[in-house]
Amino acid sequence: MNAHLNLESWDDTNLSTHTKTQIGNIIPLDKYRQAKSTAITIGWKEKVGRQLQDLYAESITDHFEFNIESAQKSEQFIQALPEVSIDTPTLSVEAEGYILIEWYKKSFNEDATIFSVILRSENYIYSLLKKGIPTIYGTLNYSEDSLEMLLSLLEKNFGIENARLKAT
Amino acid sequence: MHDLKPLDILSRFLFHKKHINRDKGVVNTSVFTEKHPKGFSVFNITSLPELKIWCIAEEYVVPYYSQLLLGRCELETQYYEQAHLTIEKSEPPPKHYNIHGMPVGTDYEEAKKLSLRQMMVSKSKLILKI
Repeated sequence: MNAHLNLESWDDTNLSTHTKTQIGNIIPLDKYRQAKSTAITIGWKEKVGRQLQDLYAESITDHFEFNIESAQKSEQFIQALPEVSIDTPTLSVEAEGYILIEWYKKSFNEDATIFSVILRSENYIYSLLKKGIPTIYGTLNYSEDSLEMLLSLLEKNFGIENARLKAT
Repeated sequence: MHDLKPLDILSRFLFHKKHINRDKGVVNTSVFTEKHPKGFSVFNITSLPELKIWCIAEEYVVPYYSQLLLGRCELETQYYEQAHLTIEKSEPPPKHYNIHGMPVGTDYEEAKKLSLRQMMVSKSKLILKI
């Protein structure tokens, strides 16, 4: 089953003219919608797509920066992830407007494991805190190799299959 | 300079949804970054009853925001210091402190800070108001 990311079906009919003008100053919305018409598999990717949409709307109402290029890169990154074998991430926006994608898990008897990826203009910024211990952090340029490395870290620490095996 | 003890609890009041991960009941790492040159505001809420904490927010913080107060993030002083952040007493209002040291840096500096921010998230506690 397929579903759209919903950015193209953004409903701004109830927005005031003033707000629409503000949006228009920040982003050519029509072009953005057009570019976002790619269908993706339903599941957490759809939820995350909605989060991205909500963050953009929040940036308008709460007056914080939202970097469109970073949003597009985050979408590409999300689409490249295997949906069925990795936990659901959460999206946020950094102070300078870049998108932060984050995975979080915690058991009762251990400290949190957090994997964060920030999509800046030139690079991924990433960091892994494993059971409360800083494990690895750094920057990676946008390439297939970088994506593979991030995927490998993700599957190792937030792979659903891995979690199931552990539980049994 | 400040007069806090390592275990004193500092509370940051939250107004943006982007700072809150409701599914997991934690703050997002983005809460510990700030472009503002004055850093970000926290209050020492050690030993204060719940109602008093929200009263502080209503009286001294909410008037400066157009958004609804969503909750607060609590973190012990020691973890701000372990992340090499500067805590500065800034009264009035009472029990108010500014946290400095999270300006936007180069990509590598940001990666290092991201690691420190994750530590802070892992030690922090989210209390939702709405």
